[in-house]
Amino acid sequence: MTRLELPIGLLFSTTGSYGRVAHTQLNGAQLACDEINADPDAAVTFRPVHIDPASDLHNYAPAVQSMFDQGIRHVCGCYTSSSRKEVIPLFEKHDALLWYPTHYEGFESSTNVIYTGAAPNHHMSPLIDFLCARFGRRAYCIGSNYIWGWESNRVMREGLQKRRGEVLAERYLPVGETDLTAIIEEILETEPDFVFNALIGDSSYAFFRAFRETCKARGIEQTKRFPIASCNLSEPELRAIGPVGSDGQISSSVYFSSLAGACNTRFVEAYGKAFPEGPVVSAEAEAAYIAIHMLAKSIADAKTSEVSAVLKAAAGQVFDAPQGRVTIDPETYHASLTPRIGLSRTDFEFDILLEAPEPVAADPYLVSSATAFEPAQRRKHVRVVS
Amino acid sequence: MKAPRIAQNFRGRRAVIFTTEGQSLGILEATLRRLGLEPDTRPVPLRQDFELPENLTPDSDLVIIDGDLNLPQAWPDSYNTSILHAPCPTVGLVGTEAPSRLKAMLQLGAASFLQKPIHSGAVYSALYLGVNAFEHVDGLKVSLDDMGERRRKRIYVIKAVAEQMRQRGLNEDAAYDLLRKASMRARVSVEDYCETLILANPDSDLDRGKTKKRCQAR
Repeated sequence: MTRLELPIGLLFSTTGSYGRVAHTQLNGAQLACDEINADPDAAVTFRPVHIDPASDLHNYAPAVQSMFDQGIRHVCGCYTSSSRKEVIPLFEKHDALLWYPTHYEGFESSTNVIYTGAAPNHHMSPLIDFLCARFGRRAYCIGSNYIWGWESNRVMREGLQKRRGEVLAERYLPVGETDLTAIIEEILETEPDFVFNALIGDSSYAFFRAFRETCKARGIEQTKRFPIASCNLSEPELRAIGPVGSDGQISSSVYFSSLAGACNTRFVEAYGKAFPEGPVVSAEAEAAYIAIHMLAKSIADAKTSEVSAVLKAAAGQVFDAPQGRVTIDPETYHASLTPRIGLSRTDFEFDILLEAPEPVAADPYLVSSATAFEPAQRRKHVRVVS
Repeated sequence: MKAPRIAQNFRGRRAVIFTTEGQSLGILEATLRRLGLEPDTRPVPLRQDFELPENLTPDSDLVIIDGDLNLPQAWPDSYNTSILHAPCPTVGLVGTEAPSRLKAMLQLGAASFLQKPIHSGAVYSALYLGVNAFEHVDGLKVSLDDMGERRRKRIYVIKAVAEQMRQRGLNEDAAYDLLRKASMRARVSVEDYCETLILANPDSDLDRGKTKKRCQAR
């Protein structure tokens, strides 16, 4: 087979409020491109075209359109769900394929998207079990005011209700907001067993810092009394938080750079060598790395870059990734991944507290775990017979 | 008022699909499987009459009917469904967006629509609305039947109040209050309590036969 040369789009915001973590995705994708291009046995050479939408939702659709105008039909990109939803209609209209390498809240299965990041059953379900067993069942939920925050908190609320726990309060902040004084006061007043954090970017970093400082000023050991748990806390974000507030925090993810194993060691070393100025490797970087390798394998199997053939070849595709074996489910086009719980350290890495024994198939609609009916807010003890 | 139960997970439901063969059907079946449903497709050629199944149950089935087909005018008599209602949650597939086709689906109780060609991202919303609207209407029907039953039994409340007034020398409010408290202790509605009281002791109705009956339990 003649080696294909194929332009692909990399749609990641390297600037703006979530630019740091999305930059790691760009790096992960770029590293995979370099590896594939250097492999003499690969079926394709990628010519990556990067566009930075600068964390601004309005820039995504024009960026994708510009990629399509250049003849690109395979794109790896998007960090926020709102940006993904913004561009999906374009992918469907132009019959192109988006590889989405970010953990997300689920409830989607577009026929033009392959999801290599974690689904809610990969990060939310194990985290709720862990928090209830370790700390208690009374939560304070905080999130950025968009779909990730809303849905993450809904899944947390329902998970706690199923376990006879409760959400003491649920608060939302605009993306990028960093004034958290009122929220922190309310957390201290309501005294939850733990705080569930679904803030993203600068809001999240500001929250970790300010909450730790407030607790310290009042003689409270934050990590013991008010542990903070997140499903979107990765290594580069620990560095963004800085030395105050970055250690002792709980993160549920499918990948941590401290994972043991030769494959991950090679990946972390190659990443560090390719991008010495950072940002350091993250779960999202690994997801983007997986996506590009899966794309190359699918093109090799399909023997063409035609979208429908690549999509067909991607179904059931297997890749031995840094986190372990990853498979694309032919039914949902989501990746099966290995859930883990990590505890952040002062050196901006994570200790692995828990690890699933094997990869878990994605359940984007939570059909295996969600109750048939939304749980009632309060249990009624009085039977009304009027 | 009791808060409605919102259905959000349709795993294990059978989805009986009446539509023509085509690409949309494949997308629909794949999306239903992702949502945990079991598609049971009954392909129907255009312009051919067909019958709706008689073994559907509201909790375990869901029907998807295509408005472009020669739809039957009503559900089989065995269901005894009311107008614009179905024996189980029903979703309409909209091809030709003409009033006659929409009406045909509405008459069969379709509570939500899914536009053809089918977009996988619209299926969960259509099921969510279809199932929850069905549950809502079903709940209203139960409530309406309950109200009708209470209306039918109000004669017993009147009789029981009158009996308490005579036997205990109470006024209307005190007699009703007594019966209401007794019904609450018995954990039944005041209508059921009064019915049981009067039927168990027909002789206590002292006026029985002395006046012309103007209202009777029906």
